[in-house]
Amino acid sequence: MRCCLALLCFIIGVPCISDAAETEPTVVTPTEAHRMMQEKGDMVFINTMSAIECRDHRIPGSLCIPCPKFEELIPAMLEDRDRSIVIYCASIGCHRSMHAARKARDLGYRDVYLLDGGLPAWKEAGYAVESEHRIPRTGIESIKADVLNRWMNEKRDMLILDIRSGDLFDMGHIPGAVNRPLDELDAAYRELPMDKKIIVVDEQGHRSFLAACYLYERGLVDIQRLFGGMNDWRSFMKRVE
Amino acid sequence: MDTGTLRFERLMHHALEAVVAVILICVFTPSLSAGQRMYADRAPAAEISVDCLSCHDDYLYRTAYPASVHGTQGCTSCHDGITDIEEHMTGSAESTLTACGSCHGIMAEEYRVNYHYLHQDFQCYDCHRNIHAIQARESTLKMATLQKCTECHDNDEYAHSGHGIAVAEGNEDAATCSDCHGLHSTRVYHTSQQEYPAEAREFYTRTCIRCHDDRAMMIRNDLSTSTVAAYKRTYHGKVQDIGHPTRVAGCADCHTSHNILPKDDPESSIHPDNLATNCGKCHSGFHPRFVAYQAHPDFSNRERYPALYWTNVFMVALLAGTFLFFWAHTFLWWRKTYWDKHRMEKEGIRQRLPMSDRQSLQSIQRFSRRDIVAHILLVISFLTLVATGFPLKYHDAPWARVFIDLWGGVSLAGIFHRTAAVVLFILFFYVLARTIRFLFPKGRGTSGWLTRLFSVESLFFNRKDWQDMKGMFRWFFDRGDQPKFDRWTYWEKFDFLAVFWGMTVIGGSGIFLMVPEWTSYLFPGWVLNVAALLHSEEALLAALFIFTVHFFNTHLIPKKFPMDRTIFTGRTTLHEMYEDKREQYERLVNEKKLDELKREHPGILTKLAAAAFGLGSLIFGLFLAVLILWSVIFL
Repeated sequence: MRCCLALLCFIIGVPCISDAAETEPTVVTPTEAHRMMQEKGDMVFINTMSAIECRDHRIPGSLCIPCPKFEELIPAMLEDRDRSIVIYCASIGCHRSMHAARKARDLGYRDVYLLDGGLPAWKEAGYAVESEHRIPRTGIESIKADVLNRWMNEKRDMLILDIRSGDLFDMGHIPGAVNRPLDELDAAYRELPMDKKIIVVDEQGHRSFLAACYLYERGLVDIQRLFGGMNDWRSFMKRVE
Repeated sequence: MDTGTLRFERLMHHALEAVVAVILICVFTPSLSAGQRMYADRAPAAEISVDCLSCHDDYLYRTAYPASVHGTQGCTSCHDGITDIEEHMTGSAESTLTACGSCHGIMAEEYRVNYHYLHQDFQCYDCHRNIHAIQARESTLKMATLQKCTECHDNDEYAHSGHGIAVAEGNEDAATCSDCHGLHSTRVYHTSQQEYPAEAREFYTRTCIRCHDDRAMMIRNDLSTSTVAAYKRTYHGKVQDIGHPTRVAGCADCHTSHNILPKDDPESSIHPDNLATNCGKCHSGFHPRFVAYQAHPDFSNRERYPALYWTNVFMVALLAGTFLFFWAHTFLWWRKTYWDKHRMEKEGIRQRLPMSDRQSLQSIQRFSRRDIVAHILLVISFLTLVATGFPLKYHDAPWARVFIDLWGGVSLAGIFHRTAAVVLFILFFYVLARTIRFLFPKGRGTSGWLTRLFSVESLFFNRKDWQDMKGMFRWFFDRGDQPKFDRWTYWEKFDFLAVFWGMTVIGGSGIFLMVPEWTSYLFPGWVLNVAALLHSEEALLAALFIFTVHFFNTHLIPKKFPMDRTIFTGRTTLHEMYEDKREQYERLVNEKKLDELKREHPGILTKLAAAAFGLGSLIFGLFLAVLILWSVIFL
């Protein structure tokens, strides 16, 4: 009986595995992507980071299509579904670009690639980037989780600004934090108080610096960021509990 | 004004610029400092700089820039691509920025893997701000680095640490940010990311060691010169050093990364009150006395570590004594055998046996099937233990890394090591049970156990062994005949009994080290240091003894070379018995019991398998012996 069940599972399972393998986009290294860019004149890069980050710096000629609006924006921005596209974001384990690449496949784009290692890997390989509006980097002081926790206990007057997506925010956030995703910050920054210290929090500590520089440029000068983001906050809470 | 006049004026204007350019170059070139001359091949296009100042005529460019560190460089050294001054003046053609790396090439190359560049796209001018007026630093490089990094990375812990205070006081040895994290090559090691924790630990541990292993620097700063060497002798240090990042304590795990304080400071992670919490980051379920473990034990320091000092002295004496005796014994035996063989060959003497050729090749049972299986398991487990343990003992030997790679890393090697240890323990208890059964056979109680203990069938030493040993030495020096041995020679008995000592010392200490937290319920933590030392040195004794003395006595002696298959086939020949165990032969003949031990000749497959396994083990063991001896001598 067990053997029959196992055989049945195998027969059902094999086509499913094959299908899944077919829909996974091909991963290309920066060197391969650069060679493809030179060989295929019509190849296009798509940056799935926030508009703020994409305008700051990107692979030359990239389209800026933030991941949350990918499905909505790409049909109008890239009508030709036969064009080769290479999707990338900002991290090594790039969930956003993987998510976007799957959506592109679903929407009928035939030649979809994922850039292995994202934008950092492209830069590490020595290839150029371009800027549309580069945010001036400034000395944004970072604070560690224990300091933030102490300040919270002291009830300091501050706003904890969580720039992660709404989904991640709902899964867990620092008590009292306000969620304004980085994708929406270019519109939402006007709502932020000018007379209060702002602590910017992201998931891993990579994105809060640029967000803080962006807000600083817009006059929110009493601003700091959480070093290590929610990753460090969760580790700290685990240690103290 | 007509076109010709305009052209003439422009021509004169350019000629004047060229003259000024030549004068400027002549004036400024000799005044270049040594550092600025590095870039002299990228000489300023001074004629353009004259033009630049005619429009960009403010304090920054006219006064601050010439006084800056780049002041001898022309504008076009950085602002390139101006081919038409009028297009530039009207704004229709922008200049392009030359990469700083075109002069600062090494820094630019290092910077390409910098975290700040890869993830935050920091450009040179984001740290080196106000680039047109940038001045040579007034403070030390260490202090300047600290000031720059702390613009973003404020770190109170570091400021109050030994390193931070020393840097602030102008100490040129103390670690500033860039000494650990790199100045332009800050890697993407970020302990908060959980992506590279093991690699980060290895990287930062090496960074700490780079300074703390510098003897002159440590003496200069009144710090211990043995800290790193002592750490590298611990399990933590060995695993960390072998190049396979594993979850084992590196420097920062105990000392923290920034809050590095002397251990008498209550805030220090290594203050006695904080040690349980500190060790508890990795270890759990231990008794409070566990923290008495010494993370940097110096065996040579008798005052601070008396137990370790005397254990070390004892082990050195044991090793020296054992090898002095047995290597001398082996060498003398080899000389005697080889010289006698040579003499007989030279004089044309062939040894005559009191038996026919057919009789001499008669197979005689020497070992039971249980003995054979036990020995095969012993060989496999022992070789596994040596091949997994010694790469850690000699972690800095080049061959050690190759072995650990072959095992698939330190963790997997550890699993093989412990599995082999369990097999050896099972064998040990099996032999122990058989020994007890030999001494106390069923139905006889305790009567006659002493007689059996010293009988010819026993592997325990008796008076004859002492006589035999003296006889052997007389024979080595041609002062008598070779003694006649019964079933077990004294060196065979030593091989057997040494296992009891070895298993007690290596096995016992191995168990302590396998479950260090549980051990702390029996002993204080420093016993683990003693156990580690005993385990390591006794293993050296056992491995070298087996691979040299035992291998020679049993296999490499000229008349057995290249190997004796008896332990794998279970059978010897009557000839061998007559030669090697003459007293046993004569006793069995007199007692008319020899026929009881006669067996069929072993099959060809058995002989081939015995030769393949035996010779393979022998060659591997000798190979390990060479590696170990090389490490003992050269490391």
